[in-house]
Amino acid sequence: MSNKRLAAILGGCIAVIVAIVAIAALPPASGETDENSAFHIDVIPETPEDINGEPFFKYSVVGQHFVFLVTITDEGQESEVPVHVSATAPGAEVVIYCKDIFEGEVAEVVVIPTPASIGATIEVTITGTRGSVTDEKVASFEVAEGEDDRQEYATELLDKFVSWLATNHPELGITADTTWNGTMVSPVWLVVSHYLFFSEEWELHIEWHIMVPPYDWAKIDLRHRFDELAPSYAFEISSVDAASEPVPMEVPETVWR
Amino acid sequence: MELTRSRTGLLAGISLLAVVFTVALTFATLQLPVVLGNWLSKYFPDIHPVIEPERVAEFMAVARPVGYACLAVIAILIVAGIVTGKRKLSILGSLAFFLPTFGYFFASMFFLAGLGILRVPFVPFWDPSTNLMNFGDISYLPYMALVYPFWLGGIDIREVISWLVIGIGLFIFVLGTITWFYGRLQRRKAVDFWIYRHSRHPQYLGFVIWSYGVMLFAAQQLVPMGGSNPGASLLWLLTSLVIVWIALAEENKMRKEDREAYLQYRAHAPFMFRVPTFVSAVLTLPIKLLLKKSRPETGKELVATFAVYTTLLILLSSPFVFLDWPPGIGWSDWPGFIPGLPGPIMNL
Repeated sequence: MSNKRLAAILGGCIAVIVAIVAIAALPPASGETDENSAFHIDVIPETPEDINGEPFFKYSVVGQHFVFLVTITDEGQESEVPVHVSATAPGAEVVIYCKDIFEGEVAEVVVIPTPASIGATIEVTITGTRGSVTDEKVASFEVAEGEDDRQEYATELLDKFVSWLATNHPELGITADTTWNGTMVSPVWLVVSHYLFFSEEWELHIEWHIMVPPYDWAKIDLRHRFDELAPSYAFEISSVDAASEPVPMEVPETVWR
Repeated sequence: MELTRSRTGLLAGISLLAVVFTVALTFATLQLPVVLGNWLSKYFPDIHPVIEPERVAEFMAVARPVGYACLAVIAILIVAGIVTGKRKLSILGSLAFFLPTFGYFFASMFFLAGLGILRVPFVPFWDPSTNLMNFGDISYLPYMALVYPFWLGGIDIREVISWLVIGIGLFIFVLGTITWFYGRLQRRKAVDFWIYRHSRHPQYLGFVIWSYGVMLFAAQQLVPMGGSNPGASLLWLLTSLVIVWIALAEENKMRKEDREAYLQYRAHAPFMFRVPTFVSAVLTLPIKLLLKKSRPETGKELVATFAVYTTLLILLSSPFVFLDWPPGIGWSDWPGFIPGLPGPIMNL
């Protein structure tokens, strides 16, 4: 085989491979440029809710992490450019996890009321931006007087569920070493108390019935952070005092806030 | 050849030894990555790509040039071995090229955490916008043909198939190695008995089959945080092609050293394994069209053959890339989540 023929074969092969890779790397053809393609954002929870024409606000306490879940929906062809999520909330601190999202991903906007906002309504403006296109949603919640007095018992219950999950559901990746950050939620709810824990991967909502045995149940539901809007697993201890084993239960359709 | 009682005993003993080695090496293939991964995670801890994108960017700034350098060294080893005829260099390069596949065995959110650090030479291929890693997906064809009918019948054989393929590959490799050593001990000029009667390159064949099983197992691993697993088909494809290239180069050397003995051996033993004539005709058609003969015989012809087959296989894999198939989270989820119900997790 002559050098010339070998060079021609190699050149042809390289050209074909480069062409295929280039075609694969090309953005999809569409009328609008990808970085300006239209979208709209959705925010969970909706607060205030409209109940019989009256606005119904959710409550928080100072230092609570009020977590909004933000998703986007492309209005045309699915875009290769993410939407940047930003938020403002006068009277509160704002932390955003997963700031750049595509359709199917979930950003978390965490709003933490400051002491100066007790008795006030916090207005949160969440904005999505892609190129020159923006969309925004406004949510509001009230800040009540109070403090986090549930963490100790919530953590005690959490430990019971975690040790069981580590043994019985290793596929979830939850172990005794998993780090959880807790926050108060629904401070005005009394008979059934609620608490939220967040690991790097999961949001764990725990609720318990403040009642005598055998009605002292505790339940958890788990949402996979950043790609799920609703819980995907739920378990229940029918009586904490009786040290009942957790059992699977019907998964709630929405996250608790 | 009629087997005497002592010869039968020897064969049985060697087969038993091969089985013991196979079981041990299969276990090592599956367990060593776990042990090594846990140890490496102390030095390369997991990073949450969503919560800590800055740390990922910081790590990648260092990892990217290291990845390119590793890939360059591997390419140099392979090419240097072929050019100089020192095949050990090429084999070392091929092994190094395939080694990152074990990085998939370690579940982490950041792909270079723990044992995933082995994947650092993959960094140039790890571009989500082009799915470069999927340009070897035609390799999954035998896997698909085996798995899918069982799946439709409600049986999930994906993991079992991987273990089986790993075991078969190791068995052939060990048997080839023992036979080769036995031939050397007997001071035979050429090793052409036992497994060498059924394959002219049992050790290479064993490696290719074993690495196929490892590649399948790697492709089945789920990625935490809803990430997708691009698989390692391109790496397996290129590594296997390099191995075939080395085997062909060795045969050319053997032919030059003792043409008559080589041709006689070749007439009785297949290159890798016996395939039906029409399959062989299809597989060698590109060589026949390119070289007007059935096999490459010079260094240049080998280079041309390698280039043409690589291009053809990448072309055949391109539909997987362009159609973004399998859908959902990729091969780790194909053909579905519940046996009997085709469809990825995302569609359920």
